[in-house]
Amino acid sequence: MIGIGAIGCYVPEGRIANRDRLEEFGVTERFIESKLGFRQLARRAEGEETSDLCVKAVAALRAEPAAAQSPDGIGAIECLFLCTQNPDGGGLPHTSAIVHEKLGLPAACACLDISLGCSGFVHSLVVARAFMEANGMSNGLLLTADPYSKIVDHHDRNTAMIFGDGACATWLTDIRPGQALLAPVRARFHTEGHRHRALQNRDGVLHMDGRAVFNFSATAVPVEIAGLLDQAGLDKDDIDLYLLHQGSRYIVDTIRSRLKLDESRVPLALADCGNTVSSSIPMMLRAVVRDESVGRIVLSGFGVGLAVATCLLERQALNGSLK
Amino acid sequence: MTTTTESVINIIKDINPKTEVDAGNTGAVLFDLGLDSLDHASVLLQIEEEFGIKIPDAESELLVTVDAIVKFIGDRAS
Repeated sequence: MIGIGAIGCYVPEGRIANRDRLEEFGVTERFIESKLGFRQLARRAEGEETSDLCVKAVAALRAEPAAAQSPDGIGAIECLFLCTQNPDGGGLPHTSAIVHEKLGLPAACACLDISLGCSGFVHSLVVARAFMEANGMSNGLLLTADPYSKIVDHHDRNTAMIFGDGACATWLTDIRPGQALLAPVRARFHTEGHRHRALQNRDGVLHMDGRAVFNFSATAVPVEIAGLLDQAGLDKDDIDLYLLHQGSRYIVDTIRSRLKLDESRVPLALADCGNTVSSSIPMMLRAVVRDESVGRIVLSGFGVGLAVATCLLERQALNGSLK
Repeated sequence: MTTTTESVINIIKDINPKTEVDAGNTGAVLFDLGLDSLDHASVLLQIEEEFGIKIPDAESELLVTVDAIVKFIGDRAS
């Protein structure tokens, strides 16, 4: 069975401070703190490509204790999935092939790009696990890197104070004797393609209909999470953590409030780097991936599509779930 | 105060308790009473759900007072 061995994250050092832009966008510091939730937005260095962000995330992964202390490190990688909608160049070749070269991976390695936005980590995690198990693979990488700084209009009030650059590398590996790893055991998916224009790259510039995205997220995500719990025969209190895509503080608070979840189980993060799209969930997951006091986690990513992907992670050992 | 007016004020207060809206200022622009754009989107969503109506984008920009919202709900109901 495939589980999550470790996660490495890379956030570029560059920052834009939202408080420096209060006048330009006609907002208050209180609005930034209590509604957006992003004090600063991370920005990649000039010339730093999507593949470079991925390579740095993999370097961070290799330094993670769980990976570094594994007898053969993260081992020979047999497949590499890269979730992005802002690839190197025009996307041909697929950026995962460029990362394959930069990492010096073996030829016996499948490389695929997956085109998804904020729901991308959850969708890709489920796809990667199924792909690996179907092909008898033991070591895979799931990379998320979607630097929206490539497409954000820095004077657009709807988007300029939200998105930050960053990348994550998630090591997917066979669960070995004596290990208890988090694994995706059940998932639900929801797409409303007729609303795809609400979040769109038009001629190289990101356009977002904030009200449409908010309404979609506030209505669809609680239904998906409740549906997942129902399918799994679980109560909301059976879940240790709900890691929701960090679209903004306001949307996370709204979903939490609609589901009547306790604040302590729905963390807020990324105040100092912004909404990193498909990397926001693995950035939060990294800290608890080897914390055995956390046995069940619900992940929900939502946005571009418009789409929601929700999954239940359970800590699994070779003899079954530990919960 | 009508039941609809009371419901709308309650929805606004529920979403942002600090909004200084009451029965005496239903003609005031909500943004002047402490509501921001995100709260406004949330109020309109709650009204759509509670009253079973759809608020088109073009209309949403005009619904910035309690009176305007109540009138919109009344028009849709009739």
